[in-house]
Amino acid sequence: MKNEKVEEAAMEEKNTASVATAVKSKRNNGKLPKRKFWKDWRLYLMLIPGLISLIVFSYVPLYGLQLAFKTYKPTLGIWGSPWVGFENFQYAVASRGFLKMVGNTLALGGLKIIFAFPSSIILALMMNEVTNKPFKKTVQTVSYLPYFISWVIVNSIVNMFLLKDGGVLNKIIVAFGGDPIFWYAESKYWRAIITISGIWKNVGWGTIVFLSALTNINPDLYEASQIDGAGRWKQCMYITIPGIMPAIAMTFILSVSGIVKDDFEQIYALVGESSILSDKTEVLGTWVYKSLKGSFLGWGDATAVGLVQSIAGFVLVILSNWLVQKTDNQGLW
Amino acid sequence: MKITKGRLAFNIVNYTLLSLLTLCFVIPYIYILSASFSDEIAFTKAGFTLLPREWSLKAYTFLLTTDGQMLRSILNSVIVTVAGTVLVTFVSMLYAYPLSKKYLRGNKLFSIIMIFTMLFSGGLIPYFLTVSNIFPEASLLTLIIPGCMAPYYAILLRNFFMGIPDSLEEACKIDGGTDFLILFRIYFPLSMPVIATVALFAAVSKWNDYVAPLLFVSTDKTKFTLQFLIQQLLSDVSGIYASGGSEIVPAQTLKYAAVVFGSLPMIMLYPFLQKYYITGMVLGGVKE
Repeated sequence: MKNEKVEEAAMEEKNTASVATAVKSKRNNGKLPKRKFWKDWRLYLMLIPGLISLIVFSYVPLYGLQLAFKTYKPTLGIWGSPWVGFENFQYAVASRGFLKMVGNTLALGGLKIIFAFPSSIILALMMNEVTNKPFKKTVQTVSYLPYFISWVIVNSIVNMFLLKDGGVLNKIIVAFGGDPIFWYAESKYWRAIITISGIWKNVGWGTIVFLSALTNINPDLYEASQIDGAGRWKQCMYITIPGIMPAIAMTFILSVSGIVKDDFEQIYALVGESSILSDKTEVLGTWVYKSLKGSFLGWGDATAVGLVQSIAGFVLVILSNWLVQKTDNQGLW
Repeated sequence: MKITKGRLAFNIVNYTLLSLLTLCFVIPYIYILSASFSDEIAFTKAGFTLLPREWSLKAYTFLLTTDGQMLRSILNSVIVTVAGTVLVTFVSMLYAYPLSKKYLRGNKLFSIIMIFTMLFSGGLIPYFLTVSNIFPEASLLTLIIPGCMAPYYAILLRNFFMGIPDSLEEACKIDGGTDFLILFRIYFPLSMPVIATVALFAAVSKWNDYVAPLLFVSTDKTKFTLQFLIQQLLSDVSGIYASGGSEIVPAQTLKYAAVVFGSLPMIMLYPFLQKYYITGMVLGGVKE
């Protein structure tokens, strides 16, 4: 009897103790007491070099965006230059060839989404069907290679194909009895050339994300579906593609803002300042660069164009992320 | 597993297509190599061929012996690549470590400050004005210092750091270790795979970059990097190697010899680095 009572008392004590802690933790919203700032001063110190770099090279230029609403006067600096409202935007829009330039940017960006984006997925699916390990490894290794060379080098390869005399493509055309084409004098081919060279450089590299997603698909699913009589095609449609959907969604978000953000690095390397080709290849980026190299009078307009481009890219990322989340896939955040 | 007819047909098509594709990635480079080893006159007659019509090392000897421009540019590229890589890896690592600590107050804010710069930028002109205000003269520093904190690398590093058990840190703190000691003595050696990945990403992008040199050092030949020199050569050889003098300039073949210099280091290195790259790409997909 005595023992029982002691036990009961002990139980009660425990109960009240646990209630007390429960009350206590409620008072702190269930969180640990807030940590003191100064305790982690070393961690904050570590952030400083990175913060300085971000502020100087990313946030100061953001502050410089006010140039979009000003007329730049070198003697007065960005801060002191007079405000002009939306005049720069109006000038930019009214300038010769502006619409064509916007059209080129959107066309090249659209081609990239339509052709370059799926190309990596298709290549990854093809590689995934290969059962011969050494063959697969070779294809992978070789297809990643172009990612490691610069656009300047790619330009030399494009040269190699397209030179009027001695270029490989013209040699082939002549061998089949055709007339050589002056590629560098005809702008109509260049959207295709830019798109194809972009795919050539990036397609192999793009497969990595999808290949790693493919290895995460449960192999039991394939076995089960085989028993149910599903063929290869059905397996691909109902197991493989849904299995890599999150990877596809993420790549899509990351590439969709490319529609408005032109690949200056690529286009300038391939086309340079050729005025013959600019009809189909002049994009916002190359125009802004030319304004930079030109007189400072055009800098306000060019900044305005850059600002619109940044905003459009930002909005596209947010929109596509929202869209992806809406369709039940994980977004970027 | 028995192989059906349809499967066999698919395999044949698939293997053939992939083999052709593989050739597409390799053959252009063979043409370039061949051109660089060709005799100038034979090359202008025959154009691009898979093997040189007449072998010659003239393009290489010309580049390496004429007025030192090539050697200087190679040296510049090496300096920029090495210094830039060390700096960006170090600064990004220092930024990533505190971000990996959930208990740090303001952690979210510092993440947002960093990620916002990936989504929204000031554009070319404000960036150019900012950098040229800080570095008024053409200098290699303009290629090394701007962007020495790379958000993407910091995210990779942070994701990896978060996978290291907290107990290691706690044990070290009990023994009186500071955050710096923990980062450099414990996290740094444990994170070698991801640090190698980040360093390699950085090295390739520094070596291959020609836009920063185009913006900031294009006025001073002595500051040209290799990629920028090649870009100049491809558009106009005479701008760099003026004709005249006793020696004939092998104007066509030297372009391709320069291209070989510009791409060979990466092509030689990359099969060894491949596995690090793949780690990086996979790690980049890991989210909180």
